Amino acid sequence: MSHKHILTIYIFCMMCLTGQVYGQNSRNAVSLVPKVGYIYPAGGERGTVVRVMIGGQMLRGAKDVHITGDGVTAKVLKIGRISQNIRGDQRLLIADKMITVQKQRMEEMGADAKPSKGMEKREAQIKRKLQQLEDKGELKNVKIPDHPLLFDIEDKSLRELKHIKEMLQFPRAKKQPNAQIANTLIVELKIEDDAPLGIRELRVATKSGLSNPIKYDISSFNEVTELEPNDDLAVVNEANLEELPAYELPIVLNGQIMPGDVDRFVFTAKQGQKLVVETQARKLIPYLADAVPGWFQATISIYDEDGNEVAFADEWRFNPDPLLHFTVPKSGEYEIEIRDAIYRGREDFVYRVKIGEYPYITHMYPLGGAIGSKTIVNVDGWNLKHQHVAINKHLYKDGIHRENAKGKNWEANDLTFVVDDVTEIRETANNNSIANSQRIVIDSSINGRIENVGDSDVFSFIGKKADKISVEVIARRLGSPIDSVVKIMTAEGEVLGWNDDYVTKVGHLHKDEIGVITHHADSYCSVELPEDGEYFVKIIDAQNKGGKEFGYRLYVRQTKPDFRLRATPSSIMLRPGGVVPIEIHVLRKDGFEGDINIALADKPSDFVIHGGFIPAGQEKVWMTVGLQGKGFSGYKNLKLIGTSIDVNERKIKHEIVAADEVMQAFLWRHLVPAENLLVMAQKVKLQRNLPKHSQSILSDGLVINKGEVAKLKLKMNKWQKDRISDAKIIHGIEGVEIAAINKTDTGLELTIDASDDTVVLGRDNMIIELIGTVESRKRKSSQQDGKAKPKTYQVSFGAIPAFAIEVTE
Amino acid sequence: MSKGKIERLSIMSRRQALKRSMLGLGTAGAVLAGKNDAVAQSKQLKAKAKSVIQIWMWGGPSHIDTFDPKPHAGYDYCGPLNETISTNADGVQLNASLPNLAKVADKFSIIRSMTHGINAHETASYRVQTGHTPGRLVYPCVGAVTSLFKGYDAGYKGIVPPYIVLTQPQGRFSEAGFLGSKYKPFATGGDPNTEVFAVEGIVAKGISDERQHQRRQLLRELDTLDDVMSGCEEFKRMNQCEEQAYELMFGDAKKLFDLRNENNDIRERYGRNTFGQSCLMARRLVEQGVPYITINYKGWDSHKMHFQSMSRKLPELDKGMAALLGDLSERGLLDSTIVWWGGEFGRSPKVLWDAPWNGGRSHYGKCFSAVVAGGGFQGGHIVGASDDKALTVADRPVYPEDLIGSMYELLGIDPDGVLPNPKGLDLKVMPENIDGMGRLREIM
Repeated sequence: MSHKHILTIYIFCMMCLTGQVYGQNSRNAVSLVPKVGYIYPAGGERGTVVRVMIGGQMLRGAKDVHITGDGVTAKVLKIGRISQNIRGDQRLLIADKMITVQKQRMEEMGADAKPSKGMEKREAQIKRKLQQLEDKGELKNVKIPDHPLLFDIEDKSLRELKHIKEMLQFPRAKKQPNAQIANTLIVELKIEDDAPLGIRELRVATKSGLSNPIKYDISSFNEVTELEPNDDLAVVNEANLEELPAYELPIVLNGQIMPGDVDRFVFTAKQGQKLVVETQARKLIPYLADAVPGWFQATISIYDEDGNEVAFADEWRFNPDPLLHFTVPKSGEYEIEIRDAIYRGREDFVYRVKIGEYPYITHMYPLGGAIGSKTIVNVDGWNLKHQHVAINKHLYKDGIHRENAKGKNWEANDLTFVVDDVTEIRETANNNSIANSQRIVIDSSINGRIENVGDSDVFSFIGKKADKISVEVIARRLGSPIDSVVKIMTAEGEVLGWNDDYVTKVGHLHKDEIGVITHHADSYCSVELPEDGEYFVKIIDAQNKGGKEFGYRLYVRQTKPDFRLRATPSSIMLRPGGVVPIEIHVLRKDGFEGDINIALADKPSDFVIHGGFIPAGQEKVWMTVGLQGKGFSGYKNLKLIGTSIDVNERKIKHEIVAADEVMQAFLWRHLVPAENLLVMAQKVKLQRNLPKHSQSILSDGLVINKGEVAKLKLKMNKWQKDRISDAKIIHGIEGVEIAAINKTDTGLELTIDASDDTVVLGRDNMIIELIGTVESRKRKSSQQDGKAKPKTYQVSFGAIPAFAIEVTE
Repeated sequence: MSKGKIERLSIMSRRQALKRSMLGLGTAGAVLAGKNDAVAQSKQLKAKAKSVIQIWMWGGPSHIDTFDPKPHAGYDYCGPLNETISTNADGVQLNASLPNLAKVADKFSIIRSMTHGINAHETASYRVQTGHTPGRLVYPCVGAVTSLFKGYDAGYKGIVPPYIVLTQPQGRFSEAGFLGSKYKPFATGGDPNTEVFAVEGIVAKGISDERQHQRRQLLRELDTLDDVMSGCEEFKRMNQCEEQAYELMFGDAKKLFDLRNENNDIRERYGRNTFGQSCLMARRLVEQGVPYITINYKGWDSHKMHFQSMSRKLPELDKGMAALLGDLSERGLLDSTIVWWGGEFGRSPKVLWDAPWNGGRSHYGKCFSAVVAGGGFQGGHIVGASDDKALTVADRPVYPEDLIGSMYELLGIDPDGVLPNPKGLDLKVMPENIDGMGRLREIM
C-alpha cells in the first residue's frame, strides 16, 4: 500500500533584499565565505601596535577582525591582492616613487648615505620614460596599484624599500598561482600592556561570512620582522642602507619563506648562556591542503662568527617544529638560518623563532591529575628555577587541557595534561615483570614512565569472567615521546589482546581528539576476560627508547562506552530568521553505539537548533543552527552539548568542541579543535514585507518508502515565491532527490523523490538550500527592445532548517 | 720515463682494485640468466600488433570531462563542461570538449570502468603500468616487457632503441624494474615542437658532427682503462652502448628525429605544441618499427582551477590524438599499432569548489577511463560503465592487468608465459586478476 506524505513545514526565510549571498556554507559553486590562509607576522609584543598582513580568499569587503581573548583590538586598514599583475607603466611610477622616498631617507641619514651615480642614472632614465608616456597621453589614468606591499610607502625605511623591491620582483616563474591566499588585508592590531600571553584565534568578518580561525601569538619579547634580502648577510650590509643590527636577546624573529628562500638573522650572545631557540611554524598553521609534506617543515641552523655550523634542528622529538637548547660556547655574534627542509615556500610559510634564555618545560610528570584538585607535577627542562608546577586546580571538566605553565613571577610554555574523575595511581619502582608487577584496581589511571631503554612496566589486577576490560594509553596526545605498546596477559603469559598504534579513521578523515598529531602512537585495546583471576597489563616503548620524558597515563577500566563530539566549522554567520548547516562528528570510544541528542548548553538562548539527533551507529550528522527573535549584533560563542543513555542506563553528557575540518597533503583530513564555536550575527531592521522567523518544524520528520515520492510544502511571502526557482539538497539520504518545485498559494511545494534504485535505506537529516534570481538595482544588462533590463544574479536564499528523513523498505 | 712507469704501476694498483670490484659487479650480468630462454621459449601467439603508442596522461586526466561525460549530473559535477557531442560511432558520446576525436571515434574504444582504488601518484602509476600491486618485487612496466620480448633479445634491429619515451621519463617508478637497465626506455629529452628537436645525445643544438667526432676521438685517447681491462664484461656492455649511441647520433636516427622532414601541413594537423608534435614523432617511430613508444603528456594533475587548465589542455589533446589516429589509419598503420590513452587514475567527479582548490578535481582511482585503439582492438565500442555521476563502476570492472594482458596478447606476448626475474621465481608475464572479469575479449 503506497502512501504519500504531505507535510507542511512552516518556514519563514529571512533573506537579504539586495540579492547578496545569504548566510554560510552555500553549496552553490564557489563559496563567498572568507577563508584565511595566513597572518604575517603571526605574533606581536604586548604593549605595541603592529601591522599585519592577512592572506586569504574572499576577503574583499572585510569590515572587522575578531580576536579571542582580552587585550587585543583590530582595525582593517587596507584590502588588496598580493599577486596582482603590475604593468610596465605602473612599475615606472612605483620605481619613481621609491627613488623619491629613498632620497628622502638618505637626506635624513645625512652624510652616511648619498645617492650613487647608478641611482641618479636610473632616476633620470625613469623620468625620461615617464615623460615619453605623458607626451603620448598614455599616463593619464595610470596610478600606482593598490598593492598591499606599497601601503604607506612614504614611511618606509631604506631597508624596507629594498625588501619591497625584492618581493615585487620575485621571479614569477618560481611562484605558483595560489588563489586561496591571493587576497590580502592590512590590519592594525593594538596589543595592550597586560594582554595575556599565548596563542589567540583571529577571524576576518565580511558581509558574506566569518572566516576560519588563524593563530596569532602574543609574546613579551621584542619582535622583529625580516627584511629581504637576507639570504646571505655578507652582501646585505651594503652602503646606503640602514645598518642591519645584531639583535639583542630575548627576541622573536618573524619571517616568510618564499620558494628557495633562506632567511638569516644575526644576534649577540654571551658565553655560557643556555638559549632556547623555539620555532613556531606548524604550530601556527598545522596543515596545508596542497603541499607535501602537508605543513611548512622548518629547519634552523646556527653559525658562529667563523661560519661554522654550531647547532641544527629540523624537528623536536615527534614535533616537526624545530627546538634547540643551545649553550653559547663563546661570546659574540651568531647567525641563525631558517628555511624549509626541501626549499619550498610561499606566502603562508610563516614562522616565528623565539630566542632567549627563558624557562622552557620539556616534560612533566605525572601527565595529569584528578578533577578539581590541585596536582603538583614535577617539571624538567631548560632555565627552570622551579621543579614543580601546580595544574588543574580550577578545572572541573574532564579531558585534555592546555595551559601556560606559570608561577608567581614567571611564565613558561604551555603544558598539555589530562584531568579525570578516576582513581589516580603512581607507578612504583621495579615493576618490570609479571613476577614483580604492581597491583592496581580496575577503573584507575596509572601515571608511569618508561625510565630507561628496554624498560617495561607491568601492572596486575583481579578480574572476573566476562568482564570487559579496556586498556588505553594517553601519552603522545599529551606531548610525551613514548610510542607505547600494551598487552593484556594472563598469569601464564598468554596474550589476550595487544595494540601498538590506535588510529580511528573514517575514510581519510582522522577522528581523534587532538587533531594535529599525525603519528597516533597511543595504544588502546579491549578484551573480555575468559575467567576469574589475575591479569596483567604490560607497557613498553615500541622503539625501545626510554627516559624521564617518556611518561604516560595508562587507563585500565571496565569498558565504558563513551563518546566525544566535534562541531564543524568553528565560525558561522547568522541573521535573524536564518539558519546555517553545521556538521557534528562523533568520536566513539569503548564501543559506544547509542543515539546522541544535541542541545543548546545555555538556555534561554538567542539560538535555535534543528536536526540535533545522531542515530545509533552513525558517525556524523548535519544539522542547522538558527537565530531567533531580533538577533544581536556582534559575536557570541555557541555552546552545544551531546547527551546519551548507555546500555546500563547511565547518562553521558559532553560539551561539543568546535573544530575545523582541514586537509593535509591532498588526502588526509583532520578535525582541528578551535577555542570556541564563534557566531557572528547582525541585527536586521524588520521591514513590513519580511516574514518572521518561526520555530514550528514538524517533530516527526519525514518518513518515505523507497520507490515513492513525498510532498514538502514551504510557506513564504510572494516576493520570495516569485524568485526562488531551485532547491538543492545540501545534505540528505543518498539517492533521494528533489524532483520538482511548484508554486502554491502560500509558497512552494517540493517533490521529494525516493524512487531511484540508488536510494539507500536509513535515517538522516535533510537540509535544503533555496536558490533563486534577483535583480541588481545598479547594474543593467545590454539593451533589448530599446529598454535596458536590470542585470540578474543567481543567489542563495539560504537553507531551511534541518528535519529528519527516513527511507524505509 | 721512470716517473711515468711509476705512475703506470700506481694506476695498475688502482686498476687492480677496480678490477676486483668490477668482477664482483660482473655477477650482475648473470641476474637474468635465462631471459633469452624465456624469450625463445615463450609461446608464440599470433601477433596483430607490432607497436604500441602509449599516451600517458601524467597526473591523471578527468574522465568526466573527456571520455565519460555525465551531462545530467549537475554543475557540481560537470562545471562548465556539461555538454556532450555525438560521434561517428553509434551510441558513443564524448564530452563536447573533444570534437576532433568525435570524428574518429570509430577507431577507438573507451573503457569506462577502469578501477584500482589507489589515489597516490607513485603507487597508482606503478599499478597501471605494470599491472601489479607494490610488493617485494619491482615489476617492469609494459614498455620494458615489450622491449624484452620484442626488442633486441627477440631480434629487433631498429636504428633506435626499442622503447622510447617522448620526451621526459616519468620518474614516479622504475620502468625496467627487476629486468635491469637494458630495458629502461630511451628518453629523448628536448622538445619536438622547437625548430631543432634536440634529442639527448643525438641532436645537440649548436654542436656540429665534426665537433662530435672530435670529442669522441678525445675521449678515446683519454680512456686508457679500457685497454687494460678489455676483458671486463661491464666495459664491453658500456662500449656497446657507446657504439649504439654514436650510431644514433650520426646515422639515420638523426634524420628520423628531424621533424623538419615532415610536411608543414602534417605538423599543423597534429598541432604545433609539444604534445601534438610528440604524437607525430610517435607515428614516425612506429613507421621505423619501434615496438614501444610512450608520450609522457604532463599537466593533468589539476587539483586547482581545473577548468581553466582544461580550457588549454583539452583542445591540445583533442587535436593531437585525433590527428595521430587518423594519420595512422590513413597510412595503414593503425591495424598494427595499439594506441593506449590513460593516466594513473581519473579525477574526482565532484568538483572541489572551496579553497584552496577553487574549482579543482582531486585524484580518483575508484573509477576512471582508458582508451585503446588499433593493433587488434576494435573501434567504436564502450567497455564497462560507470554510475550516473562517474563515481563508481556500475558494470564490468577492468583492472590494469586485464588491459595489459590484452595488449600483450595482441602483441604476441604470451601473458601466461614466464617472466624472467632475478630470483628465478616462476612468475607469469601478466596473471589475470581473479576478482576481475578478464581480458577485453569483447573488443579483441
